[in-house]
Amino acid sequence: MFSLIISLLLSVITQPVIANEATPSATDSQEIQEIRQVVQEKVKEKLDLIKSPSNKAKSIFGTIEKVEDKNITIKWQDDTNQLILDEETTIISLKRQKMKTSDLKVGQEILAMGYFNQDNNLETKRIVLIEIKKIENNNQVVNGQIVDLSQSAPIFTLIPNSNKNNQYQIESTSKEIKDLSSGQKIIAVIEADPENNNNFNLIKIIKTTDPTSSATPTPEEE
Amino acid sequence: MLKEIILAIIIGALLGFGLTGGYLALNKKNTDAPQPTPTPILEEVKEEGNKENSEKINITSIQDYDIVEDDNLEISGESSPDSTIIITLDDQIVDDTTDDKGQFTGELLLESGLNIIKVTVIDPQDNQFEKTLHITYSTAKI
Repeated sequence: MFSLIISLLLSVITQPVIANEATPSATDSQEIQEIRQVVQEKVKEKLDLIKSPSNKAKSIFGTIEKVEDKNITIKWQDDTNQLILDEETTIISLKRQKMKTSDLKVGQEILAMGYFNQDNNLETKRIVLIEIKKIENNNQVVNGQIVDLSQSAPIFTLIPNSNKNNQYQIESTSKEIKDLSSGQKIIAVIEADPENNNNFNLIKIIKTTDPTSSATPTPEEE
Repeated sequence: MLKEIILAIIIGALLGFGLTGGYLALNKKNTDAPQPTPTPILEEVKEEGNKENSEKINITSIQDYDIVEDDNLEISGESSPDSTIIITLDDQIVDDTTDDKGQFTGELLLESGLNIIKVTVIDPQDNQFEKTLHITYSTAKI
């Protein structure tokens, strides 16, 4: 009798639990499977990227923050990296002469070449002292509209499409400027004037659009 | 007497569990119904997709921070079709338009040491994207 009561109780108790475990529909599980596959591919891609440096030589650069025996910490912008040196690490000065590890000082700018280990530290084979300011790429690409063109000097004002509140005062020694007109849309490569950061020098005009033609192509309908 | 008590317990239990079970099953069905999507995984993928979209430039010929032994560097990659591509390195400026598949190629002559290369894409909708590559040209054995 008791076994009958127990079996009845068990059948009643387990019933809602089974009902709760609703199986997802075919479409849901297919979507989940696809998402899982995309996530797995992304993870694999990132892992490959992290793992690959151990087989392939890489270079990193920055300012020396700390020198501790065979370990050096360098920093560039928000990135901090650890360098591991050994007896075979070659160090080259700005004058292209060999240096000792003990010659390296905090504040020096270096380019380090080597292989990333599993801890993501660079096992450094070669260090070259550099001056980052001289290497920096100061070119800027501006896609915008000419709003003012000086009649007396080879200067024009360009407002970028990306930020209408911004404007660039651009000077050019090139003859190309004679062909420009106010209202024209252009893509230009410019560089900040080293003496006055508010002024820019024109390096090259990539593309111009006739001011009378349709300025912006209409976005494609999706 | 004992029979009646046991029968009463069984009927009571059946009624009690039956009603509770029915109520729970109905409740579960109602809470499940209006929430088909999204799961947390879906949101994660959506965010990742937006990030990818914001970059818009995929360099296929070389990876950032690579060391090369040849000073002639070919940069090829993919972006939106019919976009303007501008690749700059100091005074070298290479510009091109991506083909209908969004592919592009450009060549640069590297200086010894670190080269900071900027790849800019302006798509037909005037959206601008930029990627910076740090490539070291060195013939020294690493």
